Amino acid sequence: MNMPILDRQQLWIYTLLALLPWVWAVFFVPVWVSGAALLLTIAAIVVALRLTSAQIPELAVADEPDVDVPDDKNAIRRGSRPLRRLLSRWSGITHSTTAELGETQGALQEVINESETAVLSISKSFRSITSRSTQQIEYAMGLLKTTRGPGDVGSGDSTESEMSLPEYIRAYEVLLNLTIDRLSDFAKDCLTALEGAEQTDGNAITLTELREKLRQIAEENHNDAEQSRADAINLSGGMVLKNQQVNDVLKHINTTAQEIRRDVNQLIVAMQFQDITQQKLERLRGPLLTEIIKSLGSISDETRVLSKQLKMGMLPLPSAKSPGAESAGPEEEPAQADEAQRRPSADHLGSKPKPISGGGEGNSVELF
Amino acid sequence: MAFILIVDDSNTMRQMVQFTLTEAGHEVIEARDAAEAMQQLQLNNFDLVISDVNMPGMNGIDLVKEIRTMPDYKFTPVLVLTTESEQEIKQRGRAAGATGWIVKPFNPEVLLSVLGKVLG
Repeated sequence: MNMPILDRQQLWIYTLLALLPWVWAVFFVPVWVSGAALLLTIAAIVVALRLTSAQIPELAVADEPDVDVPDDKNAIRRGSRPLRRLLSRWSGITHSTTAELGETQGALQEVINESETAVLSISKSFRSITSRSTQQIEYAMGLLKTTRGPGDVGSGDSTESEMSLPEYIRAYEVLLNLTIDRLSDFAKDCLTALEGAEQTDGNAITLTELREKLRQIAEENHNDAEQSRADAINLSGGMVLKNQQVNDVLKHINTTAQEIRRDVNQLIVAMQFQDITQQKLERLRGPLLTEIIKSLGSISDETRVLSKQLKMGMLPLPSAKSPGAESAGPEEEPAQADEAQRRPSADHLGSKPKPISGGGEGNSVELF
Repeated sequence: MAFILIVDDSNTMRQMVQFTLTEAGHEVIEARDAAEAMQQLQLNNFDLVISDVNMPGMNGIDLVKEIRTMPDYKFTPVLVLTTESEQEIKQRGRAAGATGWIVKPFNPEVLLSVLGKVLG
């Protein structure tokens, strides 16, 4: 129940005004009536004083000469409406931000997990690449063993069939054996001719006849020797060419191996870079996001409580001379300082990842 | 060929170092933290230890100090492989008894070159 509130001064004025009709009536009524009226008036004043004294402590704060208390309270209430709306909005925003950051944290964790999976996948991939490269080299070596080069041996014909190095070596061996056999045959023929000459001693075979026989044997073997020489030249040429081809292929394989090694090194550096970034994210996730979520949650709770108090009029009335001005400063500053203290600094997250190309021994390595 | 212990809490980093060293013909054993490293150090006789700094539990600098208290590892080369590059922490590593300091990400060729130097 809201009664009109009067101070003592006003009460006395109203009392005197109420008594004025009795001032002229006092001469026309009996004395006991005047006395009763006076007593009743005094009783009314006492009751009125009791009622007003119950209201006075509540207004003690506003009991200053230049303040109109009821007007101020209503004005403050009217003025606090936007503040209440703002606080309500702030509460909603902080609440939704907290929820969003929570989701972000979850997403960040997911990214970290995916990154870890990706790193392991890359690791497997490059191992596989290395393995396949090795297999390719082995295959190339196998091909070299079975590759056929130009030239032919032993058969005498000049087909374009190609031979491997071991086949060339075997052909050379065959050629040598053939030549040895031919020499052996030649020697046997010569020996047979000489033995024949000795056995026909009585028949007087002439030296001229013997020379002629030996010359025939030599001529027969000469063609074979020429053939052997041509085969040897052919084989040597083929082997030189094959050797050149092998050297070229080996050079190519060596170059490829170096390129693969370089690629693998780059991959190793890149993967370390990714790993370092992942570790930075881990450090970010813990101290930074958790603290932000905690701070925002706390602000949201405080705002909600404040808003509730404002709605219920439970907050102490501000001073009429400077409402808000005195309270805002000192309360905000510690809040900001507290917020700054809660927020993890950039240094806490560690230094930035080094660039991928950081391979120089210059400042990345130090031996004590 | 050397027998090397790698200590790092990152699985990826251990794999990278292990791959680089085994490809170069070294034998490698991995440990994910200082406690596991201490167990391995007692079980085996390593020619070289490569350790990270920031690890859960005991950090790499303290691990180097612990290694230096072991009679078998008083003169064994211990390399620190870390993202930390500040001079102050390097000095702490040196004071603890580390042989060298390599900043991540490492170049495999550089790592092998350093290994060649410290292993003689």
